Amino acid sequence: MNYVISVMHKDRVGIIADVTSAIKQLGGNLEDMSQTVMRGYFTMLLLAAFPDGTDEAALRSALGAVKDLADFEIGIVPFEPDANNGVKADDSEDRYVLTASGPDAPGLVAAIAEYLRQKGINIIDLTTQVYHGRYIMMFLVQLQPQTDVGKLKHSLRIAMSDLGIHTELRHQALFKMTNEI
Amino acid sequence: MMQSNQIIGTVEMIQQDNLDVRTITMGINLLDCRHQDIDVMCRRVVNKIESYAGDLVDVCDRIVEKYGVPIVNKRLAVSPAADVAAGHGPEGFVALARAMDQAARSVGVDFIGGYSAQVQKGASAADDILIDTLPEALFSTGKVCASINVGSSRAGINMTAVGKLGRTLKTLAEGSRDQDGFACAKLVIFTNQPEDNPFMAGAYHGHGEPEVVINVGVSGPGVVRRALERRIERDGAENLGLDDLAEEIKQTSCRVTRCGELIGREVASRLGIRFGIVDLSLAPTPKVGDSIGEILTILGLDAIGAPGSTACIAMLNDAVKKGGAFASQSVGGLSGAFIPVLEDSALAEAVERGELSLEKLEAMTCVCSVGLDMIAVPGDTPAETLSAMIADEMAIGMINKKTTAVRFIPVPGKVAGDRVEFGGLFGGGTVISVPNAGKSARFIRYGGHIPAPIHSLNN
Repeated sequence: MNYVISVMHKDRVGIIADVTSAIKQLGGNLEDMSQTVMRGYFTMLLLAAFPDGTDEAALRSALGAVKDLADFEIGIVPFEPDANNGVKADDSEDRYVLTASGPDAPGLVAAIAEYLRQKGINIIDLTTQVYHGRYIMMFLVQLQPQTDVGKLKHSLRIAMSDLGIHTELRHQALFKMTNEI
Repeated sequence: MMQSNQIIGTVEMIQQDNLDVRTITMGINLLDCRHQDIDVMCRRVVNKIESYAGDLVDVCDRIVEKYGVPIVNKRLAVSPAADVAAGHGPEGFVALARAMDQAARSVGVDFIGGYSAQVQKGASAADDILIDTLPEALFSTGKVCASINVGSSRAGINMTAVGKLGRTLKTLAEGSRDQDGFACAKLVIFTNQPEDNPFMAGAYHGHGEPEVVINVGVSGPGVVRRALERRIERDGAENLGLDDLAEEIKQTSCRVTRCGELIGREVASRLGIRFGIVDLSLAPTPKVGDSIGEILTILGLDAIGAPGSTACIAMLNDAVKKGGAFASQSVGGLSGAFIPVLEDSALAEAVERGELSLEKLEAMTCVCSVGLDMIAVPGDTPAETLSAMIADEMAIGMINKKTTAVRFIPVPGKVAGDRVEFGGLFGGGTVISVPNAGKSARFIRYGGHIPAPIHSLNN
């Protein structure tokens, strides 16, 4: 039985040890894992396989029973193998990096995410940061096959200019080539 | 997902530091276009160029959309015209130049190089006709560029051709007097001319090249400059040695080259044409912030041309090659830092202030690419003096087993200190002083050949 488990807590030493030890004690095997710390807050998303018969309630109860995990925000959902929603391999020809920058104000990510939803463009990954006084958003996106990139860039630029957001769209291979050996 | 600082770094290289692909140059073999009938030869040339390069500009434009990296120039390099038109008289050569020009316009490229001949050991009848027709060919076309290889480390220097080309430069300058002698900017005179160079005006499609090939010239002085500035801001100049700065240049050159490699290979792939080489040259533009001279200033020279300039450019040139060679599967062309005076705002200003002399430029060309390039000299410089200046630069290439080249513009009616403006990538600047003009005529009048140098006892 495979579960996707999310964990969020204020960062401290030993969180990963606590969580993975608890999973091990439940007989679980880690299959995939992503973890980051943002401004002192730890978050982790993992996929683990458990012995047959391990249900969600039992898993939550077992994780909650571990003393050091008692005050963690924990989410558990059964893993569905088709849940990748058409996401292709990392080197997909249609995968682009959308960089956007604007004055630090509420609603910038929402505006771009809504625009992308309307165009049927999936966001694979997103990071943001304030850089030289501007709010910078970096979206890894999966375009629809056969998208006219020139037209998309143009319409995105026009749609976002009212909000003072400057957008650039470039194929991810450029970033890989200029940063990875 | 890549790290956000890597994404921001790449975007900054393009948006603020002037990273671009300077040229995508398609090389095309035209030797099978030869024919005794001039019209048939010209028709074959146009048809062949159109069939291979018809989609070049469109494909480049689509790749610019995909990666958001400008491709500044789309160009063609073809087989030496002296070989294609051999057997014809002057009218056949000029007709070929016009056919090249017509084809270049038809496919929408910026320039076509290959009105060329290799005469380092001696000139054939066709080579002589090509040199004789240079003025008419360049005056009657807009996109054609010419190059003559007059020397090599294996063959020596053809001084008769060098003597002739001094006079050719005068004719070209006089014939384009209303443009300050601009026709001279389309003629490069080489020693050890590369067969796969994508940069103009010296590009041609060499005999050892495949039927058709895509070569790429990267750019990047602005990126190197900003990388050095950031490193010095971050660590403090007092905490850095030149080896640290060389390493920074090397790593930046690697990133710039990777970008050129990616784009060049994709152009080749989409056109179904073999990819040739990435030329690792740092090619400046007249734009402020995209200059080799500015890099020398950041490396600690308060005046470009001051003592230390040669050492500085040697380090820069070597670091660029090391970083680029690691980044690309196949490198070639000129591969080095260019110092084309009129095309580099900081170099042009150094000449204007009297800080950078012709002699110091000549010394710097001993250790970098590619030679005395885009230099405006007084219009009354005698032809023999121009030839002697060419000979000096060719000798540097011959002895040091490197490519050297000359692009002089003797500006009609102008003297040292006067301004010239060519606009666009050709830039502008000040006419440089030529010391001892008129004192080399007896040397040049000998003509003949400087024998090939000995390849041992290297001191």
